[in-house]
Amino acid sequence: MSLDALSPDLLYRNCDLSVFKFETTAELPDIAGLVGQDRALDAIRFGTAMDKAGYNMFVLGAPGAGKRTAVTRFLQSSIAEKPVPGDWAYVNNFTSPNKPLALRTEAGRAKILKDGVSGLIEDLQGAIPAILESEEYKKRLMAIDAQYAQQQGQAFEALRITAEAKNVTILSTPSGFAFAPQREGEVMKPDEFNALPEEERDKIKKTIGELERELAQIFQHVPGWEKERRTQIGDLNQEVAANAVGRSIHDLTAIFEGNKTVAAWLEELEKDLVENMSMFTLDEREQIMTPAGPMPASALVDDVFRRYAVNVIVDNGVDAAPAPTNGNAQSDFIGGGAPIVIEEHPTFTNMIGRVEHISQMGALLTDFSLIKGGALHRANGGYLLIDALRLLREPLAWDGLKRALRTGRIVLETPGDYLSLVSTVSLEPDPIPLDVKVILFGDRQLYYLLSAADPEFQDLFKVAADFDDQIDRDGESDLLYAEMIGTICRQDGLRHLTKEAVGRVIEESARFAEDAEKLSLLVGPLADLLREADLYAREAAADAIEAAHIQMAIDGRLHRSDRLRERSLEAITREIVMIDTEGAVVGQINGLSVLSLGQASFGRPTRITARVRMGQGSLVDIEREVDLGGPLHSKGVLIMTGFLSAHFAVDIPLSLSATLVFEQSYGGVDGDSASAAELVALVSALANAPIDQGFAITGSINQLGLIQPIGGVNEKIEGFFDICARRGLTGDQGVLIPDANVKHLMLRHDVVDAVERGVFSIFPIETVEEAVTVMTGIQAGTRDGEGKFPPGSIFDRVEQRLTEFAQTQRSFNNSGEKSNRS
Amino acid sequence: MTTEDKSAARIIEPRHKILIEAETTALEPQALAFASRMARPIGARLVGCFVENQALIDLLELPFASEVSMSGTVRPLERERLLQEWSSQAKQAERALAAAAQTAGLDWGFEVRRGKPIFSLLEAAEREDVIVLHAARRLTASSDVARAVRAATRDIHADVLLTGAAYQRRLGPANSQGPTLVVLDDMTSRGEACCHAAQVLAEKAGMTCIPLRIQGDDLQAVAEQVRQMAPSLVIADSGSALFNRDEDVTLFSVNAECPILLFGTERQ
Repeated sequence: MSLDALSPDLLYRNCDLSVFKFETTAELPDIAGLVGQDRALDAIRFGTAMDKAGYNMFVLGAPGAGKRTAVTRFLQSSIAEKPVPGDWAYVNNFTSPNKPLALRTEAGRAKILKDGVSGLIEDLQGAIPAILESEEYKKRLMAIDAQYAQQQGQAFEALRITAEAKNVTILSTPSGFAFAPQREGEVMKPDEFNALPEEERDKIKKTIGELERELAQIFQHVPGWEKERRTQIGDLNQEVAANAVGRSIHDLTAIFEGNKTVAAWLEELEKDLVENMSMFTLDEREQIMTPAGPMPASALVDDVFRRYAVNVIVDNGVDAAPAPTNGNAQSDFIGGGAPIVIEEHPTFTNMIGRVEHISQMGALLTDFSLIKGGALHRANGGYLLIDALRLLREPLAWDGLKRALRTGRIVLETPGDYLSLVSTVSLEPDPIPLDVKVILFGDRQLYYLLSAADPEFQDLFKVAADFDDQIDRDGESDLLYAEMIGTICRQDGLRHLTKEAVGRVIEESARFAEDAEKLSLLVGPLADLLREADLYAREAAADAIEAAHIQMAIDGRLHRSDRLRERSLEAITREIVMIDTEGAVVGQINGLSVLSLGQASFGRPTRITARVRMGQGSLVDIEREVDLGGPLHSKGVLIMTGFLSAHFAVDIPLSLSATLVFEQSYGGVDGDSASAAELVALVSALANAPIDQGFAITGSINQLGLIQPIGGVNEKIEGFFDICARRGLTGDQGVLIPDANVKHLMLRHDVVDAVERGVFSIFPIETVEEAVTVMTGIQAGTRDGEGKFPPGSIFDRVEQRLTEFAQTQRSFNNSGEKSNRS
Repeated sequence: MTTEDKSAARIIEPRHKILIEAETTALEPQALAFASRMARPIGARLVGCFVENQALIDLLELPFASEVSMSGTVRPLERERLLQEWSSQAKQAERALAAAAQTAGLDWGFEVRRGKPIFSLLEAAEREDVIVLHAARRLTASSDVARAVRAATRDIHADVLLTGAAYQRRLGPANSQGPTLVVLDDMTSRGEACCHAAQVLAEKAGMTCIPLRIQGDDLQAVAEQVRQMAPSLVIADSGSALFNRDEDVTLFSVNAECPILLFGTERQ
């Protein structure tokens, strides 16, 4: 069996610039939508058009796929067609102050209501005191007072005259009045009284007793007269207040005539204003603010009229929408038709809203004016965009959002109330009907996790917009990609790219996608590359970004994150980490792995060794034994055992004991991409055939001995190449990769150059046999018609060795049995 | 020295005292505050006088001595309780007077007398004192107050500040337009002197003085005119022809809804 190394043209797929009919991307039109995301955009279109409950969206895809940009752009283009939702305001409930009323108005009208009521109160603050000072009011008040005074005065004066007529005078005592007999205008002395005949004395006693009863009756009437007086004054006040309030509120009532809830509240407001007219007088306000007196919630601050305030929590008026920000604010609001709210800090209270409190004299007080709306309020009637991971990290936020979506209402509660931890009396604001489309953003893993773990998730988020990571690479997509690059340049204010630079970006994109036939759709990393290249172009005073600037950006990025790779290479070249790149050793092979740490990702060879001896058919994976091997790695080892036991000496017991280890590996090992290397090392050990250390191998195997593709093939090849290059390329060095990975190759130019020069080789392999043959230089061998491997082939030697182990094992067992019998 | 000059000098000179009736009710805070404000420009002492009614002591000796409380309850009048309540009320009135005087930076005094209400107060008064009296008293003949005013102004030659519940509001803090003082000018030389003295007092008290000519006007018309002007105080000469009858002063004060300061007679 002979295996050909890959030709250089298969190692890197250059971009075909002939399809580009432009010089720079400035000539290209802006791209509408996103390249290659038709499925996701269809889902978004469907999700936004569907107005039934539960059709909220989860936009899933890799970070940097441009999910939010795409969704925002789509929504911005479509919201103008949707109606602007109304405003919401909380107002005082005059009958139950702890249950504030929610009022809905047409967009922009809540502010009119707020300003109108504020103006009304201001008017009344001037008008009512003026009325109370008016001559007409005073005359009527005086008339009532006079009537009251007359009632009392007449009663008391009549009594006084009666008493005087009966020679009895009235004396004032500290707590009332006393009656005393008098003679000649002076109170009778006891001696004088005692000197009177008994009949006279009795008469005086009787008279005084009658007068006392009469006075007692008058006193008992006094509260009734006072009550009547207060009633009359109240009626008078109501009459004048009703006139004043009615005149002032008339215009406001006319504006909201068609809005039943607002009109009803304005009626209540009018009634309350009339009933509390005295609040507009200075004396009354002072009384309310007396610290020792009762303190209603409306006395929270120095404005007793806040009970009449209108707390606008959602204003969708034309002037209310703030300018879109760059996402650095806590929340972003994009106005227009329906609102699009991006909540960057989705805590429970930021989502649902909150009721704030004011500390006054050691107590926490609140009222309707301290209600603050949340993102759901602002987005009501439109769209709410939230990062799913951030939402899930905030306590109660996910549950709060789900409950609002499930019930279709926003119920304002504190987290304490929500958890039923607090039982103090607080506000119970009117729930607000919710009609919002929530769009969550997250990666696929999170989406699948939520689907599996939360039964409500699928009911509430019925639409999944799945953003693809890659697109097929062909001439058409290259051109689309070029248009996308042009669009990004225009949006970010970057220099445009020459077509050569576009080609270089496309090639790098394919490498990023780890596939020569695909292009990455992750816009974030692409935009970063363009921005970095723009810097180099600016420093070079170039008008456009050229291919060299792209390369500088790529190299610069590599250089900035290259410290670990350098240290790793250094450790190998200084032979601290032992990797042979020449010679041949039995049971020792160069495997390949990829290290990803932060932005750095690079390939690195790892020495794998295998030792064998007679045993009970056990294959010890040392990595697994010490818990350094992950499940995928263990799976690879077990598959390898399966291959061995089924491929060699199938008629006899597998009497083998083997150990496998990743030398100088002190971290965890996972993945099965080294299983081919492990198998070749084991075969080498069994066949006692040395492995050429100039080769490294990567690939996983199945039980049939077929080599399966792996990830990170470019980095792995480059990792081994870098070692060989530093030590000096001998021409006998190379890497064996799964044949299925050939289409993924987008190797560095220095690697491609070395292959072109014939000093480095890359072999595509499909079977274990090919790998063994290349790495040992001896044919692995295949069974002939009689089921035997060619004599001297590697597999023949393996089978013989296993047979020997089995025979030795049998002999050993027999001798053991005999000695036991004896 | 002209008549006007003499009158002005009389006002400026330190008075003996402003005598406030404390009787059986606590001092009215607004009346007290007004008296304090008036005492400062004329340099008078503030003296409270609480009168224990001798007639009640005498009544205690009678077998049917009882009282009717404000709530309409009839109960025996007991000596010990009566004295205790008088003592308590007197102390309360004294504290209020002391506080007002100290706030205004005035000398003050307080005395308790036993005798006939109002008239015992007059016994404590001297020429050139100001006596503060209540104009309206429930179950007290208005003629008694009128007689007391007459006695004070004509016999003792003291001035009388007549206050009353119906116009307490006017005694309070000045309104936004500032305190005003109306002086009744009956176009006589006494009236002219009265006007001059009122102007001096107003200047010292930081008030605006408005003279009101009353020649030939009747009492009711003048009272209505004053009521509409809504002053803080009315000043008049007690010998003015406007007050023909004893009751006219109290009647005027009630109808004008305003306290009135009457200058005593023969006070040149």
